Amino acid sequence: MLSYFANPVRFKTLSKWVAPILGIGAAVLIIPSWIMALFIVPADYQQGDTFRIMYVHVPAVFAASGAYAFLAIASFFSFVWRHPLADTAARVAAPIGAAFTFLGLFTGALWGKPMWGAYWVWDARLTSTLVMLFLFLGYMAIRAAIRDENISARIGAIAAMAGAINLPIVKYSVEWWSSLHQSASINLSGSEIDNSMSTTLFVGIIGYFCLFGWLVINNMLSELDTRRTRALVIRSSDQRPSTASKQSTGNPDA
Amino acid sequence: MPELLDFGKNSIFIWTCYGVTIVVLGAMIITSLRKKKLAKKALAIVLEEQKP
Repeated sequence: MLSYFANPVRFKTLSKWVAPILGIGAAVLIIPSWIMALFIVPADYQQGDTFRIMYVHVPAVFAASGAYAFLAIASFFSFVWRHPLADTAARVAAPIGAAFTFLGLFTGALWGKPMWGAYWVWDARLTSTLVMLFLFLGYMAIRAAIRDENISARIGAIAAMAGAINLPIVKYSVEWWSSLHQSASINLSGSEIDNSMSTTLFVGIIGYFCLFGWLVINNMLSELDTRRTRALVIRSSDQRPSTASKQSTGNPDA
Repeated sequence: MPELLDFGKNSIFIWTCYGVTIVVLGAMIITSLRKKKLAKKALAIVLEEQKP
């Protein structure tokens, strides 16, 4: 199934349908979730209005973790089967994941100040999320620093796969260690928060994932076009000297 | 309307969070669209140049 879509032409055909759906999905989910979060959902009985930060903080952290899982899986496919499309997917996912992680940390810091009295504490959840940001940045640095595309893809994939060990640490850090950060309010068995709050939060989370998907597909399409342009330019510059030499040998005055 | 936007002493934290989120997500969307447009344009130029 995955190898079927690992063909750039098939991927482009599929993305023509999927990208608009994800883009529209992101807009119709994120914007109403923010409107609900700011103006409709009632204030929390303990945190007051400050809890409204949750609707930009939690989706950003979920999307960041999802982005890292995506990066690690795409890197695995790129490393094992050497699919160029999987490598492209990993490459474009990293900066998007880094941006979501930054948003998660930034909004978390601004939520922490009024609640904990500090923007930052060296807590297991916060520190492991910061490590995730560094893993994204490290991956991007590797890809930018190594000129040889194949070596860059291989080393980047190894780093991304090794970094995946941090994902369960981010998830379970609040259970494994004594933490200032609250434990999970929503999980597969249900939600500990009121329905009006959790519905708005779920809508936001799905919206952020749609946005991530749309950005990945859009950036992959750009990358594929750029690679094709580069290949055409290289091919034409390779052909030019031979054409020129043919012309020069064909001309007796030359 | 102003009281709807006022979240008391923590307004600054809430609005900064939403403001920065909008700026970062907006920048990612605009960059992505621009990149796609430029890549398409560059490819079209090269294909046009290489037409027999």
